[in-house]
Amino acid sequence: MWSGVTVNSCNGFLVPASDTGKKVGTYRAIVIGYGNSLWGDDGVGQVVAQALWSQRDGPGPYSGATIIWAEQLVPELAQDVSNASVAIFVDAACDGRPAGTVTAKGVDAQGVARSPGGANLVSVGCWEDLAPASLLALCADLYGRVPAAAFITVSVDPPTFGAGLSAPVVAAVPAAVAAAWSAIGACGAPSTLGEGGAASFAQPSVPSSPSRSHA
Amino acid sequence: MSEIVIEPVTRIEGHARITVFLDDTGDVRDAHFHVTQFRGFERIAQGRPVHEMPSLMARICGICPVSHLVASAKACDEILGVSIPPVAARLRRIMNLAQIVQSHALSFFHLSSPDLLLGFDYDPASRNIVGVAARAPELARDGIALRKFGQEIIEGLGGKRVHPAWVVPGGVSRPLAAEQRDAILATVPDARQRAVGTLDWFKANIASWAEEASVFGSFPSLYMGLVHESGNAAYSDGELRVIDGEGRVLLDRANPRPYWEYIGEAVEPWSYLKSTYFKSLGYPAGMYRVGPLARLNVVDQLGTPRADHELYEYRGRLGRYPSSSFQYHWARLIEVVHCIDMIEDLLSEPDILGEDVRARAAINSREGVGVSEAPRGTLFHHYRVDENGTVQWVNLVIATGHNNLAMNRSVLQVARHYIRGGSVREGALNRVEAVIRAYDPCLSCSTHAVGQMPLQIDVVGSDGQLVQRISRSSE
Repeated sequence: MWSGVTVNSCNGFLVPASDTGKKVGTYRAIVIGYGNSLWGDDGVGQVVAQALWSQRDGPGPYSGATIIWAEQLVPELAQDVSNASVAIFVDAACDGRPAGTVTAKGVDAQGVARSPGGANLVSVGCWEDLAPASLLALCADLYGRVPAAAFITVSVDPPTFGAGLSAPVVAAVPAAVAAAWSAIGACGAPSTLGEGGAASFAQPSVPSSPSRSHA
Repeated sequence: MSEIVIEPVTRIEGHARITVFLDDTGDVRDAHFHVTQFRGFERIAQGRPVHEMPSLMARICGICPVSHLVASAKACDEILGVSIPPVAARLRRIMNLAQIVQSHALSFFHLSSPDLLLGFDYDPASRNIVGVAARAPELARDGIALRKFGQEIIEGLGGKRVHPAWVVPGGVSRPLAAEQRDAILATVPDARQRAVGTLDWFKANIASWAEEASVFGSFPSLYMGLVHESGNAAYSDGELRVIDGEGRVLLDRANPRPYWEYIGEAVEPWSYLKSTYFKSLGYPAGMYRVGPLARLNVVDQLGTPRADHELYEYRGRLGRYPSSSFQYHWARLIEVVHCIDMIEDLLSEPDILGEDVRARAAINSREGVGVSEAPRGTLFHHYRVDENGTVQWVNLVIATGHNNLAMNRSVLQVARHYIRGGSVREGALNRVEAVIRAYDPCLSCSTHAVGQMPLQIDVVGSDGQLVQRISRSSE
């Protein structure tokens, strides 16, 4: 357990105790979609984030969410994530499920042990990078704040070099977008999401191309 | 004979392998640092319009793209036959200095501080930035903040943190806005405080790394870097200076443009990385080092009071010409302080908001050479074009190539010290890797800044049979 870090559970997510009870619309949400955009379906996280970006300025409880798309999670994101109330991570997953399967689950940051032999930095994605739980562990250690967090994955077949997504993964983008919005609201309203659980989502239309990127 | 293979080398930028050759008694006979990836940018660029070159060349690297932008743009400036507006030159310098800050922060905090803070023998599963955050959160916060400081300057100037297209042939694509300048200046005090604090921490703990410092590439060599006419450090302009291990000047105030007159390039069959050497001493006797250690050795002074105070202490404790590659770390931190001071000074110049930032011209020369100091050392871009400005030929001489001979000798020195009798502890293996990390080689845009990479050592007997295998996986 961390010392000096207050966390509570909310529908399976970890949230700072000081933020529990806030209405959904007042949450400072951050969504990070990541993956290698030149590695085929591994880039689906970025595509989902870009779709979310074009929705964030519209009416609704999630207006103003910070949307970031990047090649990978890096420690520099810890400060922004720790300042958020809710953090949503979106990545591809080579998990053996049919391509296009959208899965959402809470992130157990406390599961990242830093005792000898216990670290698990590698994501469930198709690439070596920092895992969401490890980034949250950095938030706890460095800033003493851990947001509620959910991890949205889109199952893919092992990617190959090249830009663009395969047809089943393209078709899954709206569901992943819906899953992300739903996960943001999960602490303010009952949700089917839970620790390690999966849920299905409606498929809204995918918005037009975005105009902003964080490398 | 037996051999030990370390593959891949971890916490560096790119892919590499180390082979340690043992004699019949199990002691180290030789060692090679292999760069096992091939990029081919010199060939890829052929046939492209020269105006594309800065943006194309920036894709060489995701860590130091700005250095390639600057060197490439300078080569293109020559081909256009223009002198860029003074404000544009200063703006390029600011971005290059910001690049050095963020890259040095990555090298020191994310890649090397796990060894320095937790120990070279610490459990490899936790010997990473997450482990640093758990043990010393303030140190990790400083690393993240300094990375952000540099990245946000690059983003503010160029619109992107990685691969900005703002540096163009003839200057930069748009001037600096007052609010951007003020926003950057507001972050300088915090960055400086963190950099100085980290430097103080390093100096206070230097004695605990005495053994590593004594064998991590501790030998005399030549040193090369760019200096201003005043003898101050130069990062985007300046002239070449080469000195030997005793400080004798072998080349001074040399126009870097005809680099081939001073520098030879050799190729070994076991690596894709070229080995450069100082021509007048031949190969491999002309081994030299570049980068922070070399820059601090070749300059008379850095040029800002705070950094020069640190340089004075550094030379006072290590001697005028430190020869251990372990001291790249110390030199790197001094450069971070210096770059922050330089950024502040440049932004405070009264004409920095000037709007004349780009010279435009057609093709006026068929050949151009651009030189700048990248975080890891002196960088050369050399292009030839046809009458339409289509690139015909490219030669790139990068910092890691300059250091290749010294890195190989450093690996051998460390391996001989820590590997005896054919038995290898993980900590010894990590030290062989760590001496490479001290140079902060940038082997490609591929990075492994975080995480536990798979690594394997094979001890192979003289009969070709596997004697011992030590491995760690990413599972």
